[in-house]
Amino acid sequence: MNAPRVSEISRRSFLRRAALAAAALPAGLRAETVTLPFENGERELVKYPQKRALIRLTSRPPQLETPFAVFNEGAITPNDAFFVRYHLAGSPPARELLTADAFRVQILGKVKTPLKLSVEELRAQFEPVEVTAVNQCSGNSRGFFQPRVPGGQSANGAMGNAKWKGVRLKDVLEKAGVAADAKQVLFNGLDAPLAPKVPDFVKALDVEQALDPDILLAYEMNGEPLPWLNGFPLRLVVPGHYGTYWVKHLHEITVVDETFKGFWMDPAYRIPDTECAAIEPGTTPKKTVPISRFNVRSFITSIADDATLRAGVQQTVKGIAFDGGHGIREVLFSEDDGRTWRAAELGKDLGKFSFREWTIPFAPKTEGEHRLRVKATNMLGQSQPLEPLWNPAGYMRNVVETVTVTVQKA
Amino acid sequence: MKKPTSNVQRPTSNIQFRSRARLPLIGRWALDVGRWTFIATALTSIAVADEWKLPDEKPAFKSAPGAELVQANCIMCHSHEYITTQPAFTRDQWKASVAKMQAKYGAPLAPENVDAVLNYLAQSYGKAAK
Repeated sequence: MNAPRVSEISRRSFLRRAALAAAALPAGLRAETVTLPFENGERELVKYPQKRALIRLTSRPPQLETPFAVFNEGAITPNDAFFVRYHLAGSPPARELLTADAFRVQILGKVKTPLKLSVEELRAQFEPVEVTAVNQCSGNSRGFFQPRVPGGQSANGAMGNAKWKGVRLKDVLEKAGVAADAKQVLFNGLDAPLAPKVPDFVKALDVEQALDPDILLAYEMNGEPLPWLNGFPLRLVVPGHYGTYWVKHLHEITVVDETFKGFWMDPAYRIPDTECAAIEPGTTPKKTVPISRFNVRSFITSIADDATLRAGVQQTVKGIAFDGGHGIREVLFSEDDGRTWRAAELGKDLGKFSFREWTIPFAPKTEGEHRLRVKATNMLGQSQPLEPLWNPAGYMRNVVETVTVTVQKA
Repeated sequence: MKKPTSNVQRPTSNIQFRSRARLPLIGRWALDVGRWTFIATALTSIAVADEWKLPDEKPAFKSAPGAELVQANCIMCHSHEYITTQPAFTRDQWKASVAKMQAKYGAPLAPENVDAVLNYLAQSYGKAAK
C-alpha cells in the first residue's frame, strides 16, 4: 500500500497556534486554535466544565480531544485533560438525573433477582477494585487515514490512561443471578437521542466476557468522582477494549437470551473480519465483526513533529506504549527512519492495561532532516505495521509512528 | 427616558468608601463581612453554574444556496462541525453520508430537497470547493 504520508504533506503546520478573530476583538473573546496535521484540521481550543482547554472536534454532542503534549507529562492522563466522546444530542445528561438522590443503576432481564442500586449502595455492598487502564476511541487518529473516511476527524488525542475505581461487574451480575440461558449483557447510559428515530446508544458484551473480573462499574477516576463529561456518576470500564464499550452514565444493565442487533453494535462499530481488520483502501469489507480489543500502539511524546534539535547534544527521548491488555514487552526506537533500531528502557509497570512509559538516550549525529520512529511489541509478540492499514470506518490505526526533526549544527 | 449610562459616573465603590468612614467600628466590620459574604456567594454561584453549563454553540455554515436546508434538517441532532470538520469529500461521498443520516438516524430531509443539500455540501465542503 502506497498511501501518501500525511506527515510529509502537512507536518509543518502541526500544532501551529493562531488567533482566529480579528485584532479588534478583546482577548477573552478570541478563540485559540490548533491545526491538526491533516487537511481541514483547524480546531478551537475550548474550556468545558471540569476540563482545561481541549481541542473541540464537535460542540453537540460534545467531542473533545486531548492536546498531544499532555501525554508527555506522565503515564496518567489528568481528569481535566481526558478526552470526551458522545454520540447523541441529549448529551451529557442533565445534572438532575445524576444526583445521589436521583441516580440508580438497574440490573434487569434474565436474572433471578433484578437489582436497583445507588452508587452508595454499590460502594457499600461490593468489594472495591482499582485498575489503571487506557481508554481509546475506536476512531482515534481517523484524520490520518488515506484515503480519508467520514467520521470524527481526530488526531492522536482521543485516548487517555487513568486509574479507575469501582466494583466488579461480575460481582453485581452474580448477586442478581444470571439465568442459565443468558447470551448477552446490554449496557445503556442516560445520554439520550432527542429525535424520535435516532437509535439509543446501547452496547452488548457476551455473557462470558461480561463475567470477566477485569470489567468494572467505575465511580472514580484518578481518585476523584468521574467528571461529568466522562460518565458521572457511574460508567463501564472494559480494560483493553475500545471506548465504545465504556458506557457512560450507566443506568441499565440488561441480561438477554439472544444476540443484540441494536444499531450501535450492528452496523455501527464494526471492523472487517480480516487479518488486522484491514482491507484494500477504498474497498468494502465482505464480512464484519464488532470492534473489540486495542491493537499495539506507541508514541514519541517528548519531541514534537517538526522540532529542531542540535547535532551531538544528547537528550532523553520519552514516549508511551500500550496494547489490548497483554502488556508491552519491548519498545524499539529508530533515528534513521527504521533502518536500525535500538531497545528503549521501559518505565514503571502500572499494569497490563496501562500506558507504559519508555525512555532512550539520543544524540543526533548528523545535520539535516531525520525521521525518528517508534515500534512496540506486546507479550504475545504482536507489533505495529510500518505502513498504515486501512478500513472504511477509520478504526484501529496503529502504524509505526514517525516524528520528523531538523538537526542543526551545535 | 433616562440614559442607562448615568450610573457609570458615580461608581458604587466610591459611595461606600465615603459612608464607611462615618460608621462605628462594629458597623465597618459588619460591612466587611457582608461585602465578602456577598462576593463569596456570587463567586460560588458562578462556579457552580459553570460546572454544569456547556459553552455556547456557534452556528458556522458557509453562506450559499442550500445552507438553510442543512440548518433545518441536520442541526437538531448534531452541531455544524459534524459537517465542517470533514475532509473535502466528493458529491458521491456526501451522498452516502446523507443517505446514512436518512436511513439510520431518521433525518427528516424531504426527498425533493436531497439534491439541493448535496449541491450545497459538495460546493461548500467538498472537492468542488477546492
